[in-house]
Amino acid sequence: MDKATFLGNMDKYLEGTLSNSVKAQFENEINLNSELKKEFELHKQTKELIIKDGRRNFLSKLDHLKNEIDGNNTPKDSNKSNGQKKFLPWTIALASIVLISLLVFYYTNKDTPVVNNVPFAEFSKEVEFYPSKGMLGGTTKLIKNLAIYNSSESYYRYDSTFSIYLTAADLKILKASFKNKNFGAPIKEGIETIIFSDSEIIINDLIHLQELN
Amino acid sequence: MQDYKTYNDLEIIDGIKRNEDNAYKAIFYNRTNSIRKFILKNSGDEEDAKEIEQKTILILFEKIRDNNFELKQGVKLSTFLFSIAKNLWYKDLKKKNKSVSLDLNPDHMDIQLPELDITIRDEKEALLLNELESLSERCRTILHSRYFLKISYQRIATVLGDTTPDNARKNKAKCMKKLKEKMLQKINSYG
Repeated sequence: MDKATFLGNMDKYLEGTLSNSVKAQFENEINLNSELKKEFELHKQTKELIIKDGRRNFLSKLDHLKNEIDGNNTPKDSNKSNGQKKFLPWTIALASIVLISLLVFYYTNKDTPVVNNVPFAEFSKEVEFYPSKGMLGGTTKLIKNLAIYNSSESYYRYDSTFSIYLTAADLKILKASFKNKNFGAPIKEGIETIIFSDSEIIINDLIHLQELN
Repeated sequence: MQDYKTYNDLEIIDGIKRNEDNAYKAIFYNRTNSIRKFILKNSGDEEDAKEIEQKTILILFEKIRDNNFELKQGVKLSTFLFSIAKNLWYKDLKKKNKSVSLDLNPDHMDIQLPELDITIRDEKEALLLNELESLSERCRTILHSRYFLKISYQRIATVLGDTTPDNARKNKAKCMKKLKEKMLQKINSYG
């Protein structure tokens, strides 16, 4: 089997669609030719990674769709007889409060953020183990540091950010990580989004750390 | 477009074949309630329920994608989903060495649970996934379409505007080659 044929057969081998005779020939090549074996191992690993990434994206999409459903199935205002969607005053008020709180915390804490009186640098070092072991949600961006917004102990870091969706599995890992480090938990119910930049991560209004003592 | 709230089981299955969002919404709308209740009743919390629901739907999707799914006559989709969920939760509890009550015994419906590898194992794998993200959006779409969604080259060509299935195949090979080079570089530098 020449190299081009071998390379062309790698996917078919992994999918189990080669005939018995070609399959035997293929396996023979792997056993005898270390270069082709390496090529095959890399192909296999790459394919598995793509599938894993696809699955994680799929789960993130489900999370997003579930949130949409939950949003759509909340009780509607009985006065809306024409079926048009309207913003309720309380949602505008809530959004305003959240936005103002974010801005206030940003401008008051951006230079010297403190976590339960632990300097940010020290805190981020403590939790670095978690992001370095994996990534969150539908992203594949490696996260270096972690900062957490806490409504009672104001601190957080803010930069140009964007949102990603967390899968339920991510939440479990995150929660477990905090438990292991005695940083408390629980993660607030309804946790949905996480906002981060390249060097920092902000879990905004999502995690309520309990006091250590 | 049809309202997801009115989907029947067959419409959901057809929708999943086309990977339509509304099919998944229909499942969440009124076919996962019993799963949530079951998990909460058997040592689980809301997060566990959410995770099991999601994994259950992923398994259904992969079974339909692989033409490995048939809803037997008289069996509701919600019953099928519940059986998968129950088996998944049973496995989870066993892994955690938690005691399993009698009513948690897995169902004996003929359902084989695949290994769902979704967790990032270590930093090295995280870095490799980073390489995947660094590909162009088009390349990622082609690779996901081919290897995860298992879409034909014919359909990929239509969706991405490639002129022919053969072109789509060549583009996939180029993207795969590029990704493998990046991965190899990272693997060698990681040691």
